[in-house]
Amino acid sequence: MPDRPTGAELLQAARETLLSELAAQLPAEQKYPALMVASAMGIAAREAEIGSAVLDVESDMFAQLYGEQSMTQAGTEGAEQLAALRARLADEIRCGKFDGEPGDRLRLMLLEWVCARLRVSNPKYLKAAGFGDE
Amino acid sequence: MGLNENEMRAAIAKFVARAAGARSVNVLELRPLHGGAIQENYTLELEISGGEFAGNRSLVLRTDSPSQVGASLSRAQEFAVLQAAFAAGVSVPEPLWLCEDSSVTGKAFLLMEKVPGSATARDLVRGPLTDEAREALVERLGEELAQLHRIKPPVAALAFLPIPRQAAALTRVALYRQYLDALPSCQPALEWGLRWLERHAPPPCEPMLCHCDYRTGNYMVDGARLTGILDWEFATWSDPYEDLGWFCARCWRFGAWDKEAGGMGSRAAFYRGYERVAEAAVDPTRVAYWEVMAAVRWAIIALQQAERHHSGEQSSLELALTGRMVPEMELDMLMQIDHIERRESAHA
Repeated sequence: MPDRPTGAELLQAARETLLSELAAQLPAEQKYPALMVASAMGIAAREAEIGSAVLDVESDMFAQLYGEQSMTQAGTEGAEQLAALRARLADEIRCGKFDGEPGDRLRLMLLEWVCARLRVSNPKYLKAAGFGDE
Repeated sequence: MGLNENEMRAAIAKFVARAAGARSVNVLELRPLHGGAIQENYTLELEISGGEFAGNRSLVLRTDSPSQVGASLSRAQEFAVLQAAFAAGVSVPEPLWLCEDSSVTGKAFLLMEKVPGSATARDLVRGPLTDEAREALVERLGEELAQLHRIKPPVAALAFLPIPRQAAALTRVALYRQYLDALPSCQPALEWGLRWLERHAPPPCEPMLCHCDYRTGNYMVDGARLTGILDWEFATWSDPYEDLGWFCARCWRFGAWDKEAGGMGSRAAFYRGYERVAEAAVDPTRVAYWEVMAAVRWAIIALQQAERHHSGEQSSLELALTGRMVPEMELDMLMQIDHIERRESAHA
C-alpha cells in the first residue's frame, strides 16, 4: 500500500483548494486557465485511482476478440502489446473484417471501452448521456 | 507578424489608402482578437480621408497564424468565398480588400467589415437571450444556410475548390482515414465509426457551397440579431447535409443537450428556416447520418490538436485537454449510430 494520502487523494485535495480558495481571487481573464488546471488535476486523480480498470476493459476486449494468448505474447511489454493489438483491430475494422459480425458484439465492446475511458476523463459527460454511474 | 506595431500600422495605412482610393488613412487602433486557432485576427479602426470609403471604419484584418492547418483555405481563397457568399445575400462581414503581396506586412491578409456583437458560444447558449429569441435565431440560421447552398458549381471565382467526384461522404471518409494514418496512435472506435459511415454513405447529390464549420461559436449575434457568419476557411463544395449535421451535432450544443440545433433551439425551427429558403424538405435521416460524421471529424481534430501539444509544436494545456475529449465524441458517435439503427429497424 502506498502512503496515505495517496497521489490521487493529494491531487483531489489540491484541486479543491484551487477551486474553493484560489479561483475566486483570480482576475476574470485567469479564471479559464484555472478551470483548465482543475480539470487536468481531476483527470489525473481519477486516472491514478481507476486508470487500471480502463486497461482491464481493453485487455478483456482483445482477449475476447483474439484469444487469451493475445495478451501474453512473450517479449513485449503490456503497453506495447495493447498498442499492437489496437493497430491490428483498427486495420481489420477498416478492411471490413468485422462487417459480417453477428449482432452487436464489437460495438458493445467498444462502447464499454469508451465508457471506461470517460469514467476517467469526464464522468459527468457519461452521466449526462444517460449512462449513469454504472 | 514580422513587423513591429508601428511599421505594421504604416504598412496597412499605405495599403488601404491605395486600395480605397483615399487621400490618406490613419490607423486609430490595431489590436489582436482572441480566438481562431488557425487564423490571426486583428481589429482595426481606420480614419479614411477622401475616396468612396471616407470616414471612420471598423474592420477586421485576418492573416495566417504560425501553425497552419493543411486543409484550410488561403486568405485569397477565403476572400473569394466571402465575396461569393456576400454576393449571394448570405449575412457575412463584407469582404473589402485582399493583400496577397507578402512584402506589405510579411503575410497575405484580408480586410473585412467588422460586424457588431459576440460569437462566444457559452454566452449565446447560457446568456441573457430568451428561449424565443434563440428559437428565432436558429430559424434565421436555417434560412442563411439555405441561402448559401444556392451557390452551385461551376463558379469561375471558386475554381480552386475541388468538386467531389464521388459521394461527398466517401470523400470525407477517405480524408479522415488519411488524417488518422498521420497520427501516431491507432483508433479502433473511430475506425469502426468510419467503416459504418463508408457502408451507409448516402448516394451522391448535387454539390453546393458548404461552410463546413457552420455552428454556434462561428456566427455573430448583436442583442438578439444575427449580424454575420464567420470563419469560412473550411468552405468547399459538398453535400449540403454536411452543414446541417455539423450544426445539429451533439458536440456543438455546449451542454444544452435538449436544444438540438446548436444548443440554441429546436431542430424544427432550424429545418423550417432552411426549408423556406431551399424550397425543399429536409430529410432528417440524412442529417442524422452527417451527425455521425460530425462526431468522427471533431474527434480527429481533437487528436490533431493534442498531437500539436505532444510533438512540442505548440505546448498548451488547452490543446492537451482537448485530446482527452476524444471519448466524448466516440460516445456521441456510437449513440448516434445506435439511434439511427433503432429507428431504421422500427420502420423496417
